[in-house]
Amino acid sequence: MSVQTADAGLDSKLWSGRRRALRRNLTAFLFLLPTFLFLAIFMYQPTVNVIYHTLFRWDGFTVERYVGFKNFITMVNDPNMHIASRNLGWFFLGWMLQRISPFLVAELVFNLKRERSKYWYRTLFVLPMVVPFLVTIMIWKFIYNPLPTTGVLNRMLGSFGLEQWQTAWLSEPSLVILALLFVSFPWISGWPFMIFYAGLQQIPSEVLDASVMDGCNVWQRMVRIDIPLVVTSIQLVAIQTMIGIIQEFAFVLIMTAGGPAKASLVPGLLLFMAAFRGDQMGYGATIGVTMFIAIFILTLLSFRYTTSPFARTRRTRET
Amino acid sequence: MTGQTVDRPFTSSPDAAPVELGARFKSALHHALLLFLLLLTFFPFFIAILTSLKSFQQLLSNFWLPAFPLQLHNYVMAWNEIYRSIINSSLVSLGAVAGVLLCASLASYAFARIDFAWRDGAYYLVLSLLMIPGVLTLIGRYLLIVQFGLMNSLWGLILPYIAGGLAFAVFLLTGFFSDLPEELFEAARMDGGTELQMYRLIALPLSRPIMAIVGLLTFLSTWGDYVWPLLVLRSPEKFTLMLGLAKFTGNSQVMFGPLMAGYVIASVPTAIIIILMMRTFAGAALVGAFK
Repeated sequence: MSVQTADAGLDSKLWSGRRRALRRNLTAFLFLLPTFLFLAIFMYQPTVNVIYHTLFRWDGFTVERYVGFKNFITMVNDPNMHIASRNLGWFFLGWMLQRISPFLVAELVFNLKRERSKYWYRTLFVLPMVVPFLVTIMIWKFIYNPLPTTGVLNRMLGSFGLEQWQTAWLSEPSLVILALLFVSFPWISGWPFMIFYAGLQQIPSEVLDASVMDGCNVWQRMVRIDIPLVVTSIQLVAIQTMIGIIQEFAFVLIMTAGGPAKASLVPGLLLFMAAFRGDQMGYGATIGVTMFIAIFILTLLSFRYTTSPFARTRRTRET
Repeated sequence: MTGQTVDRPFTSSPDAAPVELGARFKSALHHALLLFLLLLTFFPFFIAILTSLKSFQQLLSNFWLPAFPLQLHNYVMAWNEIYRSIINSSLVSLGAVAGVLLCASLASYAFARIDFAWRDGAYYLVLSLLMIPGVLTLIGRYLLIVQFGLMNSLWGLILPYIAGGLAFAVFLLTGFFSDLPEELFEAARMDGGTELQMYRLIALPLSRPIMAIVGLLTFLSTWGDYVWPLLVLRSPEKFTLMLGLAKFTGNSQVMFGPLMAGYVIASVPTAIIIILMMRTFAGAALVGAFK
């Protein structure tokens, strides 16, 4: 008799426990519903759709014909793709150096003696970030203006008596990539500078004090202490930059639209042109997926070598 | 700024004076280099502001220095040209911010504080989107907007922007919500509080700074976008600020004054947003989020 009641008690506890779990699941479901609705419609569906359609000749609407891997073969043999990849190689090198070079400036500021001057240089170097990137680009278009009277750079050369160097900077096939790489020179203002500086600030002061005691000069300290200790920040910036560069095309679109005569064409722009100016959605999708694969590999590398967001999740789960 | 005294306890040897002089020279060089770099950094923006106050004649005759009288009506012209696109951009960005904050905070609350089935799986499903480059989904999103009949509509910007901002927002907010002390929620649960009440009365009020950061980041990324509005919007009265500026640039071949004035005006909202961001001590937290 008494055993039975105990059993029933256990049973009802189990049931109420299950009911509570069910209720929790339902609550969580309702909390998650809006997010997953948005993600399903605007993120998961387009991704799957695009990957699927790499196998089709497709204009997005009426024409849809299965062609297997023909798009990939076309891409590999596309002379435009060859030009775009070669250009991307140059942009890659240049932009990479640009994004890493603020580390030296961060060191310069960090090595100042007075806190107040550090604060002011830091603030001032970051200040131009308030200007939207697109506006910065357009100001640089004004700097590269081809006319000798209104182009800032040409005017500057003129006032130094170097008229023979004046040129249409963005219309010269041999100069255009160099000119584009020089945009926003000296490339300090931006989040890499902030990340590097924050990294330097996190070096324990005992370590720095010890290096002074041991008679370390600034150069030795930078190479032996600072760089090894902020190497994760440097890697982070490098990998984020790689991911950004591979898909970048808005910048080129605004400055030169890939010109003159494809001299500044990049794969992202080729995708844009194929998909939205040429009705070759399937081919555009193929370029997109190829870029995604490249980015995916780089992202995996970034998780390998830096603290990943998944590490954070794991910590979250424990609590 | 070179006149600072350098306190060096380990150089108080007899030859302290020359060392001091050398240190001062080095310090002057140090500052000179930094100032030169600052000058280069600001040069384009100085030129833009200077030019925004000149007529075309003044620009030709006096390129490098301020010219008087200042042409303040350049700003009036620029404003008339782009005020409409500023309103459109504000609507789009504020809509996206509201949507991201509402959806992401609800989802993050569930991930951080409710123990439900397949929680890890669902969370990874959201986080995996951080690896999907925008350029991959561009074509698919465009076709959706066409199918939904949202072409040339601001909703065609707002809805994909919300979706695009969610993954990173959920990542930041989940981290923050799960760091809140459990005792607060325990006490509320004792008093019979529902999850929705705990979300609204405990989690939200305590997470204002991180919500501000997420909101400001969303605002900045949507405000500065160029490619997506270029695809979705057709008629000039719907243009966002970046499209409006591009159109203005195309139209005003030699009107550099009004054009630069337009650039200056376009930088004011982002300047306000970024200053707010710095004020909400976001700088440090922001960097922390990337590491």
